[in-house]
Amino acid sequence: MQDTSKIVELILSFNTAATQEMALIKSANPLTLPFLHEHLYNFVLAKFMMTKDDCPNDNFTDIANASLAKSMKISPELVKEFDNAKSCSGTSSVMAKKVLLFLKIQKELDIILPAERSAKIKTMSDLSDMVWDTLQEQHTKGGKI
Amino acid sequence: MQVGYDRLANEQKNEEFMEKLKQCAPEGVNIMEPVKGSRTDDWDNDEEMWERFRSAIIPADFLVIFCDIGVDELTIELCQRFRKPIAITPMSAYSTPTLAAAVGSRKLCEFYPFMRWSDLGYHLGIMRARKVIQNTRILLASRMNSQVSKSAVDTFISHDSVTNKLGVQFRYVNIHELLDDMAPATDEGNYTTPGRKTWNINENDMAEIEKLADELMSGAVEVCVERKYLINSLIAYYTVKKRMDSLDCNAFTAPCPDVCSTRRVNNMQFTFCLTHTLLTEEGIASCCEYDVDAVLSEQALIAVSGKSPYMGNTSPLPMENGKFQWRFGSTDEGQSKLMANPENIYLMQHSVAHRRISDSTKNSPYALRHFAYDQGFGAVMRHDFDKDAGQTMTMCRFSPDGQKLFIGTGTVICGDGYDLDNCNNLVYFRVADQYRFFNAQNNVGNHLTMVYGDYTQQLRDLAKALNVEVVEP
Repeated sequence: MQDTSKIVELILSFNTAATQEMALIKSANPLTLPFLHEHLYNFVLAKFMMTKDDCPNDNFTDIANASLAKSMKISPELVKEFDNAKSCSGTSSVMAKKVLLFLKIQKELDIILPAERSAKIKTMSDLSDMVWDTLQEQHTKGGKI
Repeated sequence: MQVGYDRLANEQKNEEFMEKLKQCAPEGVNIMEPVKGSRTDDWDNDEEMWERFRSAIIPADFLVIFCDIGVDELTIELCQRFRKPIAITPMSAYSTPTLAAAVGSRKLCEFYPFMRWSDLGYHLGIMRARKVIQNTRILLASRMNSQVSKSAVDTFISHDSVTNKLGVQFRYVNIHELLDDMAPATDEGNYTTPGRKTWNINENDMAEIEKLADELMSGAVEVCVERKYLINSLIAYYTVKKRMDSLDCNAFTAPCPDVCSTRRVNNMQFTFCLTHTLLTEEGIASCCEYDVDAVLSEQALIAVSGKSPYMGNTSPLPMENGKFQWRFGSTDEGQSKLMANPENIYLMQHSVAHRRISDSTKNSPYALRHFAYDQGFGAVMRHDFDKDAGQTMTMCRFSPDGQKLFIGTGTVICGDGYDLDNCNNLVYFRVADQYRFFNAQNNVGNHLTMVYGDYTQQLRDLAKALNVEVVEP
C-alpha cells in the first residue's frame, strides 16, 4: 500500500504545476499561439497527473485514457474496453475527465468554450487552437492578444 | 454537477453516438448531419425546435434517435408528427422497451428496437434494400400487352398494384419505337415517330460498340459468333441503355417471343440476350421474356447482396423409372454427371449468364456463342458452372400478385450446355427436398433469380419490411 502522505504530496505537486502553467498563460502579454500551446499542454498534463514521458502521443483522448489508466493502475486498452457509461447521465469516465478539464479552462480564462467543437477535439493542437480562437472572440476588448 | 457541465458533456455523448452510428452503417447508407434538440427540467417543448426537426427529417428515410434523460415523451411526439421509421440508439437501454411499447401500442410508425450496434447496422442495410426496391424504375419494351407477355404469364398481374404495395415505377416504351432507335437518326425522324426527338444510336455510340466488341472477342475463351452479329447485339444493348438513361430507369425487360414474332429481330439479326447479360453483370436487373416479376426479384437480390444475379427457367430434374425426365436444355452428357447422386436435383437455365456470377469483383472466363442455330445471330455469353461446384445459391421470386416472396437455397453441382448454342447454358443444383422446393416454387412461378452466398435471412427481413409474405421450401 502506498504511503498516503506521498500520494497527497504528489497531488499537491501536480496542482501547483497546473496553477503555475495557467498563471503563465494568464500573465503573458502579448499571448501567442505557440506560447499558449506549450503551457496549455503542460497544464493538461499536470491536471491529468501526467508527465511528458507518460504521454502515448499527441491524441487528446489517448492522453485522457492514459491518465485514467495510470490512476486506476490498469492498461489504457482496458480503459477503452471497460470505460462504458455507468451513470444515468450516460457519460463515460474519459468523457467526464475531458469535460471537467474544459470547465476548469473556462473558469481560469473566463471564456465559454464552443460545445460542439470541444467534442471534436482530437489532438492537443486542436485544444489549444480552440482555446486560442475562443480567447480571440471573447477577449478582444481586453487587448491581451 | 457544475453549471455548463451538461452543455459540454452532451456534445461528447453526441459525438460518440455519431461515431458509433457511422461505424455500424453498411456501405450505401448515408448518415445525414444530426439535428439536435434540447430540453431542461422546465420540460420545455418549443415549436422552433420542431421546425428545425421538420426540415432535417423530411429528406430522411430512417431516424435513429439518441434519447437522453427526460426526452422519451418528445420521441413519442416526434413519431406522431413525422411517422417515419425509427430506431432508438442501442446506448439508451431503458428507453428502447419503453418506447417500443409506447409507440407500438399507439401504432404511430415502424419502430425497431435494437440491443447492439451491429443489429442496428444490419437493419440499416435492410432499410437500404427496401429503398432500392421502392426506387426501382423498370423500362418495359412492350408489344401487345404492357402487363403480361405471351410467354412469361406468371409475371406480375397488375403493375398498378405493385406500385401501390412496393413503390416500384414502370416506364413503358413501344418495342417498335425502341427498335427504330437502333439505327442512326435521319432528317425525317424514325418511322414510328416521324419528326420527334429520339435516342438513336450515333457515331460516338458505334465507336464505343466497336471497341467493346473487340474487347469481348479478345477476352473470350472461345468465340463462336461472327463479329457483325456481336455488333448487332451490342447495338441493342446500347440502345436500351440510352433509353434507360433518358427515362431514369434502373432495370429492364423486353418480351422476347412477342418481339420475335414481329420478324424484325430476324431482319435486324440480333437478340436481347446479351443486353440482359451485360446489364446484370453491371448490377442492373434485366430479365428475359418481359418477366417483370423476375426483374424485381433480381433487384431484391442485388439490394441485399450487392452481387450480380443470374436468372432462368427453374425446374426439378426428377428421376422416373431409373432415368431423368427430359427438361429443355438438359443433355445426356450433363445428366451423366448427376447419376452418382440423382436425388433432389434442380436446374436453372437461360442464355443470360455473365462474367460476375462466381465473383462479383472480377470477371471469370467466358465463351461467346450465338442464339439462332442456323443463321448464327444473337450473341450469347457462356459461363462454365462446373467450376462453381459447391457454391451455395440463394434464390428468390415474387408471386404474380406481389404479395409473397419465395426464398430458397441450393448447392451447385455442375453446369450443362456450355458448348451449345441457343438458350442452353444451365446450372444443376441440389436442394434439401425436391418436393418441398417444387411445392413452394409453385406459389411464385418459373423464372427464379439467384446469387451465390446465403442471403436467406436478409431476404426474409426485406420481405417483412415490405409487408410481403415469405414462402420457403
